[in-house]
Amino acid sequence: MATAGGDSSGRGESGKGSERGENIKTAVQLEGVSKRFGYFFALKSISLSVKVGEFVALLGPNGAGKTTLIKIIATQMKPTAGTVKIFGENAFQNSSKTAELRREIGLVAHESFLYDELTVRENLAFYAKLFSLNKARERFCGGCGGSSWEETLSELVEFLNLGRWLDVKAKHLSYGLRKRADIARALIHRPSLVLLDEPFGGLDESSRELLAEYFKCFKGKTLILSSHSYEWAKRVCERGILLERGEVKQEICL
Amino acid sequence: MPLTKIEKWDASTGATTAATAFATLHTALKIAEKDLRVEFRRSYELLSVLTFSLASILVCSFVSGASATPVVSAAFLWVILFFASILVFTTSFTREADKGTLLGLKTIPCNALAILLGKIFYGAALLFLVEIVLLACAVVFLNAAFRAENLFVFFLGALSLASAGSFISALVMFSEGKTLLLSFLLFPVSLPVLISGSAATAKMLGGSTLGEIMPAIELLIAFLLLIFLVMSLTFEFVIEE
Repeated sequence: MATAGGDSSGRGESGKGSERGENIKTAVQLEGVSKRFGYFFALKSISLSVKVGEFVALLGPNGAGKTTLIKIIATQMKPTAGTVKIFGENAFQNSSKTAELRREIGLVAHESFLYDELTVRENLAFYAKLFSLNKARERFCGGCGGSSWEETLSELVEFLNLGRWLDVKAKHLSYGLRKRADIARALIHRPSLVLLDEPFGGLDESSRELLAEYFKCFKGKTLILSSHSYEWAKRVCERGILLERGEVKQEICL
Repeated sequence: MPLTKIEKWDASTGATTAATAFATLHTALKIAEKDLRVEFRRSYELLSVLTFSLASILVCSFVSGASATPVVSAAFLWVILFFASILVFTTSFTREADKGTLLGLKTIPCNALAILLGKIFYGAALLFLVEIVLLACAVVFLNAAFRAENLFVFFLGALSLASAGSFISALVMFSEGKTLLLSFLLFPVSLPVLISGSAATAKMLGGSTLGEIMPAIELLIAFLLLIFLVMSLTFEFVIEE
């Protein structure tokens, strides 16, 4: 099986990571990260570190703060306190830095980011073009370009077995297929850091098996997934971080 | 020190700024294109806006007959346009927030303003379409005189209403009772657009030249500049959940 835009694309640890500097060893570093919604603390002074190429699971019951943490790492949400470093750079230093770092991040959230009225191909093309526009910008600024998104699209379609569904509107897809299309959407720009929020939720056993096999193929990328299922997290990740009421309770080898 | 800032302003800084503006504009256009494609595929929302506009102008023509003065015709057109804009902007950001796709847009490596600009372009395109239909109906049912300059005033009006509507739609998208809030907030914010737009249209329909309506056009442009300044300073915080 091909790798998900990882080895086959020549990216990941030896790709974008090295573009930022050969000696970056830490993909994600959080120091004293807290998030408060009104009077409620969703995260309380979280400090953790994820190495480049590591597969880490955020474990814990509902309401433990997994989704909030994933959103903060994905730069979708600013922490109330603390620092977030992605590939050694402060993620919330300024908006242009945040935007730049988003090129390295692929997020699969609870919700699907696909537009119901568009076909899978149109959805993927929409996101791919928005990322490739920034490659044009990179070239404009004197940087290097990259392989075209069409190449990545065909790799992902083959890898996730989406060929039959490319011209079907997203609203007609089953939950499992939609999840796969969403994974393709998150990987279309060849991110180095993949964040998966409850990827196994709402899926049947065979779909979970299939997804777990896909995730194992993300070699070279850094993967952080959140799950309340220890069993399924163990199938994919090497290390687990147990969260409870917004705090890190324990770090475990899976 | 200011001097240091001037020293740092070299050709590469200029190129980076130009490139960022270029990327922002292109991202906005792609978002608008996607929104328009989604809108035309779904079509029922667009059709409901057009049906409302047609029905309203027909009722106005029943009341005034063919004897509507330019002032009355302009008032009819802008009242209908204002309510049509409420219908358009009720769903603009709210739909993205409710379906979770807003988070997807936030993964794009571009500044938050690009998302708002995309929504403004989409809203302006839809409103301009409604305006063209309205103007055609006004010519037929209200005996209004058609002049190409009207399209220019309507275009500026659509852009201004879209800017105000999109920004307020974003402001209220996470709140309860967002539909009500949007209607309440849109009226005072878009008042300068309604005043200058309706005045300019009334004069246009009455046979004034473009030069004669320049003060109203200047007010529309000033409003656009002001709201753009407010949006660029605050939108990053508005879009935060």
